Amino acid sequence: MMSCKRVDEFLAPYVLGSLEQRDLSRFNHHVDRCQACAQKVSEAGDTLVDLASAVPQKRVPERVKQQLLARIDRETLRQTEWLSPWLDAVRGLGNRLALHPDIPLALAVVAVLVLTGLWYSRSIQDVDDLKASLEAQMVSAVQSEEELRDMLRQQRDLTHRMATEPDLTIKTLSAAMPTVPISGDENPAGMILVSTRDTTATISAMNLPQLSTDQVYQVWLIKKGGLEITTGTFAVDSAGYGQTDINITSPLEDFIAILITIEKAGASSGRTGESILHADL
Amino acid sequence: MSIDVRNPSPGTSSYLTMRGKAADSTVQPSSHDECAALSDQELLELLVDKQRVALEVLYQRYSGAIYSLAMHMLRDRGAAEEVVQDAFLNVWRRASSYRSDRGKVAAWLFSVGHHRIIDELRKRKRRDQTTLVPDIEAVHQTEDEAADPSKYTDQQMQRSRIKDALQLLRPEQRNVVVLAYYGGLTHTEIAEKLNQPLGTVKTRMRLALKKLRETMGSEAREWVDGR
Repeated sequence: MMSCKRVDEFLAPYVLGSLEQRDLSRFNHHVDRCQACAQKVSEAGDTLVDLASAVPQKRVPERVKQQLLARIDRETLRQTEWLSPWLDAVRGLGNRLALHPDIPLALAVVAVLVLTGLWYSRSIQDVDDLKASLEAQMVSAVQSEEELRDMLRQQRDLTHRMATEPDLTIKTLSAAMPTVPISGDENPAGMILVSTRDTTATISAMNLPQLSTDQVYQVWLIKKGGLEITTGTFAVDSAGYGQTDINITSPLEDFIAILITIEKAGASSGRTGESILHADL
Repeated sequence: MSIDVRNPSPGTSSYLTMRGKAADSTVQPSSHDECAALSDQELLELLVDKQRVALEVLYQRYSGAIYSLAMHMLRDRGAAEEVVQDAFLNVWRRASSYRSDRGKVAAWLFSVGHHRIIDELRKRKRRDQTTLVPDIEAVHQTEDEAADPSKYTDQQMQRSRIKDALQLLRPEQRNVVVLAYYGGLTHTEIAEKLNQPLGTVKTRMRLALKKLRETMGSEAREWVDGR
């Protein structure tokens, strides 16, 4: 399934109707199951109304409504017509059974037909189930491929920065407490790249556990004297990899450490979770 | 007939109760006037029960806006009329697929209409290999005065705010919004057209929408929220 982070990335294209079809079905699949993301989609819908009503207003010709109602009437009539031969057939069968002297035999024939129909319907259901299962596997495979591609792109960008930015400070983030490894025997790990040219830093973390939809990873900078400042949140993909950019408001020398904790979705104002990853600055 | 409109809970369709009768004795509004007093959400619940009068009221409320959007994007009266018909026929058929947790009824209706317009644009593109270039300056140029002057004034003010909000965007952000929403291009097509990385286009879209939401605020949508 698409991650919440990915939904954030696709929210604007979704609202503007510019999401590719293949992404749209995965987007809907996630939002149908994630209350937090559904709320974001709901809030963004107001902008859609604004944009739709921004164009010069024209009066729709009256005949359009008449044609629409006529189409609805025709459709309703067609549905009734489709049903009526079956209803007539059932009525006819009932009449014949009532008139025929050999009613028990006729009933037995009907029972055999019904049972055959049920068996056939069940077989079709099995095929449908198999098809649904294969489709789900296909969606999952496509998602994994995209996540892998994203991760490789992010890793390539980081490598490029490390090679081309001489004034980059790199610190290793290590596991701060025993955790349950999620891939093989590897523990959470990561790094922070701080550019001395500006106030930005990039955090890259891997092997982090998957969180429930009401939790996020939150980044904290610890100032001298112990003051803890939050700088943002991030999510991880299905392989436990996550990356985020943060702003550092003071010179790096003002901070003594950086921590990553698990907090409630929407970010905590004060740290409540234990440190998962940390680095001394 | 005297009816009492209650606040329906999501998913229920029996919310109109005749005065003087037991609470479980429900009736459906039969006239256009009775339905006109209902909210969009209530009308949609009637639509699930295939009450045609509910569709007529929703049509009265939103067909003009969807038609105007179609005219603006397609610039073809015949195609715009067909889009309006198809959009409301879809609403008639798929009313049960609306989910209130995904947004307001108005947003859903505009989304159905907008997707139908985009389908039409993409069909044309495949057929003609040409793309209509959306015109940001054409937004809010001419108006057909509605029959109700006060509603017309409200809508004029609303559109003026939206136009102002669009103008407040950086040109590159406004471009991606116009190409995506009014031009019907996918974000990949926009990236190719502007010769920009896909990530840049998505970032511009995200920042543009954030800015629009901040600028517009909730008070600007009273004409829709008031339903």
